[in-house]
Amino acid sequence: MSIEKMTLVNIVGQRRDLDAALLQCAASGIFHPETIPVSPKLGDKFKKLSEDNPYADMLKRVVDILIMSGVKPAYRDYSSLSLDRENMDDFIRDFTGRLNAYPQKIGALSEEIAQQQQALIQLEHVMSLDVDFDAIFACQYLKVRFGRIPTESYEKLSFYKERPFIFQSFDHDADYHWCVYFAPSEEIDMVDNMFSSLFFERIRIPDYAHGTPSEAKAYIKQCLEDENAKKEALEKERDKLIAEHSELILQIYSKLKCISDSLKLKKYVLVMTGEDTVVETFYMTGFIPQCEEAAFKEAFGALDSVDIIYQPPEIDRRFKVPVKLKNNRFFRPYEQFVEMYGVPSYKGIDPTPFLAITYTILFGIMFGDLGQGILISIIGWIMFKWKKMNLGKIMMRIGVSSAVFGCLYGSVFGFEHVLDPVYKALFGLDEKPIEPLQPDMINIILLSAIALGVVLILSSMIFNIILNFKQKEYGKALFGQNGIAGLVFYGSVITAAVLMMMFNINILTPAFILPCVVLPILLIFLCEPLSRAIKKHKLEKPEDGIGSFILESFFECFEVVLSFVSNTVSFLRVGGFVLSHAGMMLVVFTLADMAGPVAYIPVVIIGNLFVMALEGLIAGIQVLRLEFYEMFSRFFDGDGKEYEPVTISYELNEEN
Amino acid sequence: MLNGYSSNAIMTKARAMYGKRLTAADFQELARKRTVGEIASYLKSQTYYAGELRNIEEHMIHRGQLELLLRRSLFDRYSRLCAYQYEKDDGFYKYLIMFQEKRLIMSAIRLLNSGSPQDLILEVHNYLQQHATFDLFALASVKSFDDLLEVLKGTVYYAGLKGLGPDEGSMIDYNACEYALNTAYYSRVLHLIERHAGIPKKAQAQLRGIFLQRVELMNLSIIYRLKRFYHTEAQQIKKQLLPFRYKLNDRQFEELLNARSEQEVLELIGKTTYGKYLVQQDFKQIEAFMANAQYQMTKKLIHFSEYSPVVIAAFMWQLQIEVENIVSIIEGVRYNLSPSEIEAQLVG
Repeated sequence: MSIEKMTLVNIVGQRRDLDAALLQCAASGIFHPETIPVSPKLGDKFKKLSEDNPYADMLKRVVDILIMSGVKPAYRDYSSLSLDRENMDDFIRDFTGRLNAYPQKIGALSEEIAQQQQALIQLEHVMSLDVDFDAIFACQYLKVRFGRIPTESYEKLSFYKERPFIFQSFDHDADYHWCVYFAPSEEIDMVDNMFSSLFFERIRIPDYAHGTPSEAKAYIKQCLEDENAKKEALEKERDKLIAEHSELILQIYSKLKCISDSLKLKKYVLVMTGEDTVVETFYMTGFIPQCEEAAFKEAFGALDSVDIIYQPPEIDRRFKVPVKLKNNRFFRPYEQFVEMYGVPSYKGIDPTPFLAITYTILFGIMFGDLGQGILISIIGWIMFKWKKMNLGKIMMRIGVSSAVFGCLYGSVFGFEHVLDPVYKALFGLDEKPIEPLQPDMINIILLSAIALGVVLILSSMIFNIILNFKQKEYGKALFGQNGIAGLVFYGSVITAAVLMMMFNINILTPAFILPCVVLPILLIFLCEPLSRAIKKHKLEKPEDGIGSFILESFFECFEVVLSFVSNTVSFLRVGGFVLSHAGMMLVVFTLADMAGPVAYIPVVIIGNLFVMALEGLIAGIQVLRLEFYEMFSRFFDGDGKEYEPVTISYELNEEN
Repeated sequence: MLNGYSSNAIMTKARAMYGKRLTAADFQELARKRTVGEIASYLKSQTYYAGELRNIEEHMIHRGQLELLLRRSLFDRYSRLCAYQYEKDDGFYKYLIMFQEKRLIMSAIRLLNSGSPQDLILEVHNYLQQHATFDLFALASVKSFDDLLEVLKGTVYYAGLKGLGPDEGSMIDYNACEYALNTAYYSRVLHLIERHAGIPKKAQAQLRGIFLQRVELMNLSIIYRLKRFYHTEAQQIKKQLLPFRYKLNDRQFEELLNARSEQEVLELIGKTTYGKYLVQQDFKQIEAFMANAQYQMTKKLIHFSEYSPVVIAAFMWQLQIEVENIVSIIEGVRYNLSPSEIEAQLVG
């Protein structure tokens, strides 16, 4: 439950082993590279590498093969692959050529099939023509055109009655007339133009269509079957070719991807060059988790010119140590929420356990229902198992919390008295311990929510104090609004309020107010100069002048006091959601009663699902909001640098 | 007359239909097609023209047929909206039909002059015939100017064309007829807007603005063209300008008329309220400038107007521009222009 300890790694070696070293770094999956700034003092001795990737083109061609073949890119173990670079290139070229032949052949067949289908459609519409096609097409002095014409244009044909053509419509629907027209051979161009302007669409009857339309149709149908069979055979052949070579292609892909991605690390490499350099040497720096030191070094065992040098992570101030959160199985899923806010600094604290516990409890309080909680857990489990969603894991946990609090509220899918016998049997209670919508209970719930909020805010402030002391920020720890001064102020005011409201004891005497309220506010007011005084061991005048300082600090203090009030009151929403959840289930059951006995169960089911979806989502977001605004803002900066080791992804993205 | 609630519903419907229009990405895709069939296929499968194009055969469809179907779809959408908006005898909604009628009459005159009036039948379409104020098929049958006048008797176009019959052996004065028809058309539309029952004054002003801006842009186009191609004198140009004003005053028009070159005309336009549309383009064609100005104005009205007649009218302008853009793409593809050249022709 902390931040992973890191080690600064320096990798030094001869240029000849650079590619292999980069491959090891990428393949390890734990190396976080850093860009080494080149100091002007070193002059031209060190150069950054800017070489092209010689594998990029081959990789692209392999990716094209995968896309064309419909094979999903995935990792395959390529250790047994014996092909070198040249052989891989030859194979890719050859396979691409063989694969490319199929689309052309299949495309040509598809076109032929489409034409025949069109001819069939046309023939369907001219079935009433009981004349041999051979006789029609053999006409020497007449030209014939089969096709279709839009209905609107058909109606305009009467305007062309003086033109030399004969027109016959066989069939029509709302939009088109299927037809034929004849014209003398010497006038055919003019008539064709005329019909073209009327949007006549010519359908060519194939040369091999003989006999009457029905005979031609039978023949074309047979041809169509043959063409389809040929097409199917070609497709099977293509699929077989792909299936036989898919493993090899994936191995080649994996190898090329690995090498290609590792070469992207070259931008982090410095090479020492120059006239007095005997052998070119490369330098690279990065971070790895401390626990992986041995394994990492071992991976470079075969590269005798490469040295791995480990140093403490903060020894080089040029590099900000990346942060990897380390949490146990229960808290780990909540890292997603922490990372949404920011990553803690290396010397900071990991708020994940705190968030995990508070988030789970708060959600449970706001969404307490035994049945719905269990269902949320089940849904979360399905989401995790099926879609590998991290949110599913979180739902499994908060669902359990919801179920636990549901037991307290006595609610099971909105049925408020189902657990009464259990309470009676186990605890001897006549009814459930908490009835949210009971008038007496409402105030208790709301006040409890505020009390919980106070506890959480105080805890956050204590975290902040500890953290600042740890980081030697004594000024902030003592005088900050979230430091000891703020803690005393807030704690005192809350104590006074509680004593006054609950026990009618007034402790707001000068003896209390002065040290517990006024003094902390004053210290907060003077936080900045006092902090500087602690650091520099002397009191200094403010840079912008005393007047400006007083004005700014006054408004800041005003904001501090207001924020304490607003942050505290913000926790009322926790109580509010308890009540609204009960209220919404009440509505569901009211509607179910109104729907009658037949529709009762469906309405209850749909109502439950609706409440779970709507209120579950809102409650989840509201708790997160409380975490970020009311708690994190007090102790967590989130200005750390994320640990991003180089990894090789075998999925296709825009870059591929 | 429709009450406020149903008027809002129609506005919402018009805006929803507007939301389904073609996007810049669609136009880019279309400009990259290589044949009319590919364009038809894209429109049929990827856009809201799928309904109108459901029965076409993409690889066989004629270019003209595709354009006809697109224009008809425009009219169908308009009819659907108007069915809710206007009363049966309300004449304003017919402005779109009148626009087509005007265009057909101009085509008839052009074809009479060229000696092939029978070709007008190719431009007459059934969907217009049902709504036209005269028999379009009768118009397609005219053989002379007198026949034309006979067909147009009783319509708003008759009075303007009556005295423009050609002398024996001469051609019909096309420009004079165009002037007369445009004047008749816009006078009629503006009259209908004023007479339209139940439209608030502000809506009337916005509707008038749509048409008057169009006219004013046409006048600017006339001035530019006559200066550029014919170096015509100011007084001659003035006779050709349509008698409507919108945003430009008489002084600005006088300056434009007295400009010494087309460059000066452009500079003067740049100083007017239409100048902002000028600088946005390369200004290769005056029509593009006009279309862009109209596009921007109607786009703004669709978003911000509170009146359904205005939103409908603005929406129809936008649809017309969209169809013209598709037609430009079809022509560009037919003439093997590059995608960038095609895209440069598009408006909006």
